[in-house]
Amino acid sequence: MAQTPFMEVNQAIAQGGGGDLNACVQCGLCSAVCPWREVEGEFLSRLMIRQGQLGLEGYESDEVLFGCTTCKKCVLNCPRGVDIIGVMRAMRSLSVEAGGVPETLKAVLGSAHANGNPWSEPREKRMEWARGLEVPAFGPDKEYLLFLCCTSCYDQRSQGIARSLVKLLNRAGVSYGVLGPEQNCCGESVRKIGDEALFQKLAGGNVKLFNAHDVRKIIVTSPHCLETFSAEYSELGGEYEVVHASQLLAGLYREGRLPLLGRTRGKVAYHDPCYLGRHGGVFEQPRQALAACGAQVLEMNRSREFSLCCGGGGGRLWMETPAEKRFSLLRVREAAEVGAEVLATACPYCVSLLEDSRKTAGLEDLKVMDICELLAQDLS
Amino acid sequence: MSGGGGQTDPAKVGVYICHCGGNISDHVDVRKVEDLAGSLPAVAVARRNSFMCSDPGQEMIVKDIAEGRVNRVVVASCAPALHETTFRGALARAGLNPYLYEHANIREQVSWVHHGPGATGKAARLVAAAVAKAALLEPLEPIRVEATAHATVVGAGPAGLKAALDLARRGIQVVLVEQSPFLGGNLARLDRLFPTGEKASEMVEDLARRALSHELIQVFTCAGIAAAGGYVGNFSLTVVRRPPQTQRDLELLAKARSSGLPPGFIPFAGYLPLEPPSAQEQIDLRTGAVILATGFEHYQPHAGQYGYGQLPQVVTLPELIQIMAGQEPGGPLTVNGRPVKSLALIHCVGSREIPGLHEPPGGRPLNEYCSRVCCTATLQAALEIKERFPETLIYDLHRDIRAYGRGHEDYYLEASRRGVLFLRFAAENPPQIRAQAGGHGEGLVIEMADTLLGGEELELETDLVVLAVGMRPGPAAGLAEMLKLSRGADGFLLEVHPKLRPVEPAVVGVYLAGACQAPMDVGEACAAASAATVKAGGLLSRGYVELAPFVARVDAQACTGCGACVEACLREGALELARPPAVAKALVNPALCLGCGACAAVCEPGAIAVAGWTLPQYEAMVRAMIAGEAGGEQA
Repeated sequence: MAQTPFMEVNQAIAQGGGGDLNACVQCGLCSAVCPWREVEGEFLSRLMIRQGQLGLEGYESDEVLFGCTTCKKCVLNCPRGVDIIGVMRAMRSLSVEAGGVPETLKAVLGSAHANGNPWSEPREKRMEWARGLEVPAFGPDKEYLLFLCCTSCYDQRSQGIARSLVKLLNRAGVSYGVLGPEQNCCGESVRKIGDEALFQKLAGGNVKLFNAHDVRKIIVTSPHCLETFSAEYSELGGEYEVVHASQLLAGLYREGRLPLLGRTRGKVAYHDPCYLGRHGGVFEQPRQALAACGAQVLEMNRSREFSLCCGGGGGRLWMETPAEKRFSLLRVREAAEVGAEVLATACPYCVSLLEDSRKTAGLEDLKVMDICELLAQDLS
Repeated sequence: MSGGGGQTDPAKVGVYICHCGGNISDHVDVRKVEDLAGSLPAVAVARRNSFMCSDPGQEMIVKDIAEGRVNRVVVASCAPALHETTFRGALARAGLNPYLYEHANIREQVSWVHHGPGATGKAARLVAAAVAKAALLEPLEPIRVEATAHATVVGAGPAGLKAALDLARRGIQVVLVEQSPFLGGNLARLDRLFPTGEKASEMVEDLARRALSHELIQVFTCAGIAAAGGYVGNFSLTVVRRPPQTQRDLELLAKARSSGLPPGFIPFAGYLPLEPPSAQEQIDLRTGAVILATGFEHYQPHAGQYGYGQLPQVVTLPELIQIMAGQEPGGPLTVNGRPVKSLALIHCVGSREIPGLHEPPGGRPLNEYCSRVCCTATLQAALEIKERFPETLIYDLHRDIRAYGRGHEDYYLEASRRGVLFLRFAAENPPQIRAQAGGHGEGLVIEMADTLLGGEELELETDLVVLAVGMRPGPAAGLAEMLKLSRGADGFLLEVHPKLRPVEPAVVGVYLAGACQAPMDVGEACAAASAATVKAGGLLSRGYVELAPFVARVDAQACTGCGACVEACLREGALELARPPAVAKALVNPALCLGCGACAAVCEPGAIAVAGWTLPQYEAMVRAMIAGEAGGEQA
C-alpha cells in the first residue's frame, strides 16, 4: 500500500527545534560514523531523518527513536552541518508529548519532575555527599557556585568525584560555595529525551535560584551541566560563566595554587567525554591536569574529536543496553589494549558506564577514575 | 625517385632509447636494443636514458647535434602523439631541421603489450626500421598560407555574441550569422540566470546592442550558410538570408511591430535588430576563421512521456519559466487556469538515458549524457516558486542532484532549507503520472518508489508536474557536413582533445564556442567563446598560418597527367590537373592536402609522393624489419 508523505509532521519537527530536518541531503555519513555501527545497533540516523522528512512512521521503537546518545560525532562530520541532535530531540518531543516514552525513562522523568533529580532520590538528601566535609555555602562573598551533577550527589561511586573536588578547591583556596536542596537537575538529558516542558521547569527553577543569589560563575563536575548552562540557559535569562572542574584545576595548577606532588605513577589513558570534547571543545586542559599529577598520559586510537562515546548521553544512561552492545565495553578494552592502568575521564556518566563495563570485561587491573580523584590523591 | 634526393651530407643517425622509468625497460632489454642499434651502419651513436623527454634526455640529443656527431635523430620511446613534437623541438634548438627526425614507439606498441624476449626483438626491429627511414629523411619546411583577417561567427546566442565582440575588440572584422530574426538564442528564453540571479533579458540586450553598434561587426539575421569551401585563413562561405517562415517567428514579429519594434527586445524571443529581409539575398564571404556557436535545443518529451502532451498539467521547465514570468504577484501560481498548491519537478527528462532501459519511440539515438544545467535550473525554479508563492508544496523527484558548479550547491541547500521535499527514484523505476480519478486534468497522482526509504512506494497528489528537459545538439547539421566536422557519440560537435585543445575541431581554422559542443551553462558558453576567440585571433592577427609539411608533392617530369590521383583524392580541391593551355599535370593545394597518400597509391609512374613518407622510405623500413628476422628473433 503506497504511502503519502505527511508534511504536517515534517513541519512540526522543523518547528520543534529540528529546523535543519529538510537540510539533510541523505548522504548517510551520520549513520556511517555513528558508534552504533560498531555494535550492529538498530539505530540509523539517516533513515530516521528520512522518515521524519516524509512524516512517515517506522522509527518509533525505543532502540531507534531513543537510540541516539547525542555524542555529536555525526554533527561534526555532516557535510551540510545539520544539527542532527536537534532533529532527534524534536522527533522525540513529538512522541513524548503524546506519551510515547520508554518505560525506563518514565521513572527518570517522573523523578526529575517530583524530586528535581532523575535518580528517584529525595530532594532533601541532595547535599548528603558533603557530610563530614568542609563545604562553604554560596553567598555574595563567593566567586563561584559549585554545582554538582545529580549523579555526583546521589550515586555512591560518583560522590567520590565531588568529595575529591572539594578537597582540591579547599587546598587551592578557591572562593566558592554551594546551594542547597532547592537546586534542580540541570535538565540537559531531560531535554534530549524530548520532555521540553520538564526541561523548562527544571532549568527555569535553577535560573530563578541562581539569579536570586546573584550567581555569576559556576563550577560543574559534569560536562552535561556545562553544555546546558552555557549554551541553553541563556534562553531562560540565565547568563553565567561556566567552567568544568578539569578546566579550573588545570588553571589552578598553572597558577601554582595546587600543591601537587607529581607522584602518580603508571599509565593513564584519557577518555574524552562527548560533552566536554565534541560539545564543549575542551581537549587540552584535562590532559594538562593529568600530566600535573605525574601520570604518563596515553592516547587511545580514538581520542579528542574522534573519541568513542561511553553510551550514556541522550537519556541512554537510564536505558537498558545488552552488555555486549555497550560502547563502554569497547572503550575499556581499548584502554587495556594500549596498556593503560588507569582509564581517566571527566564525566560522571562516563565513570559510571566505564566502571560497569570494566567489571563486565573482567579487567581487574584497570581502574576507572575521574580526573578530580587522581589529582586529589596526589595532593601533598 | 629517391626521397633522400635533397641530402647533402652522409647520414649520421643518433639513436636514443628511453627506459620510461621502467615502463619500457622492465620488459624490453634496452641495453641489447642499444647494442643492436649501435651496430647498424648508419648509426653514429646509440644511447639510453631513464626519461628521454626530461631535460637531461633532450640535452643528450642537443649536445650530439651541436658537436657534429649526428645529423639525423631517432628516439625510441612512447607514442609519437605524446612526445614527437618535444623531440622535434630539441632538433630545432640544436640548429637541425626538425623534420630530420623519426620516432619509434616501443612503449604502447611493445612493452605495454608484449613481455619476454619477443618484446626486445620487436623493439629492435622497430628501431632498425626507424633508423633506415631516418637515413633517407630530407629537410622539410612548414607550409605557410596567408590568412584573411576576417572571421565568421555562426549563431547569435550568448557564445556567438560574445565571440563576435571579443574578435572585434582585437580589430578583426566579423560577420555574425543568425538563423532566426532575433539575437540572443536560448538565453533570451530564460528569466533569471544562476548563480547570480541577473535577468537574462538584460544580458541579451546588452550583448546585442554592443554587437550591433560595433563598426567591425556585421550582423545577418534570418541567415544560414548555404555553401562552404576553402581552408584555414581562406574560407569561402555563401550566406543566404531568407524571409522568416515559421509560425512562431511570424507571430513574434507581428507582436514586435505592434509594440513599435525594431529595434528592441521581445521577452522569450530575443533582440530584434532590424526588419527581416522580404526577399532572398545571397552574400559571398571570404573569411579566415569560422567560429561555430550554433548552440543547443531543448529536449522535447515524446507524447505520453510522464504524461506530457496528454495531461494538460504536465509542462516542461522552459514552459514553466515562461509561465511564471508572466504571472502577476500575489495569489497562487496558476498554470493553464488552475491554481497550483503542490507540484513535482522531475529531473533527467531526456538525459542520462540508459541503453536497454530507455526505448524512445521513433528509434532516436539515446541521450546518454548528463545535460548538466537542468539540476541547478530546477533548483532555481523551486526557489523562485518558494519565494513568490511560498505556500506551494514542492516535491523534487531526482535520480541524483548534480549541482556541480560554483555557487550551485547553495541553490540545493537553500531549496532544502526552504522545505522542498527531495525524493529519489531509480532509473529503472521512474515515477508514474496519472490523472486523479473522477476528473480530466483536475490534478495528478504520482506513484514513485523512494530509494532513500528502501524503495517504499509513495503516492503524491499534485496540481502540476514539471519536466526538467535536457539539451540536444543545435541545428548545425548541414554546416557540420559542409565543414567536415566530427560529432561525438552524443551528437554534439567534437573537439580534438577535451583538455588540451578544448575548442578546436579536427578542421584547422574552425573553432567551437558554447553548447554546440556539449551541454553547458551561459558562463561556460561565454568562457568557451572567449577561448575560441583567442585561438582564432592568434591565427588571424599573424597574417599567415603554418601547417605540417607532410603533403603530396608532384614530380612534374614524371607526371603523365592521367588524373588518377585526382580521382583518388579524398579532399575536394586538394588535387587538380593544370588547366589548358598548360600541359595537364597534377597540382597540389598544400593547404587542403590531408597527406593521406591515396594519390601515391594509384600513381602508375610513381610521380606523386607524400613528403616525409615516400615509398623509398617505406621500402627501407620494411627491408630493415625483414633483415632482423635472421638474427634478432632469439634475442
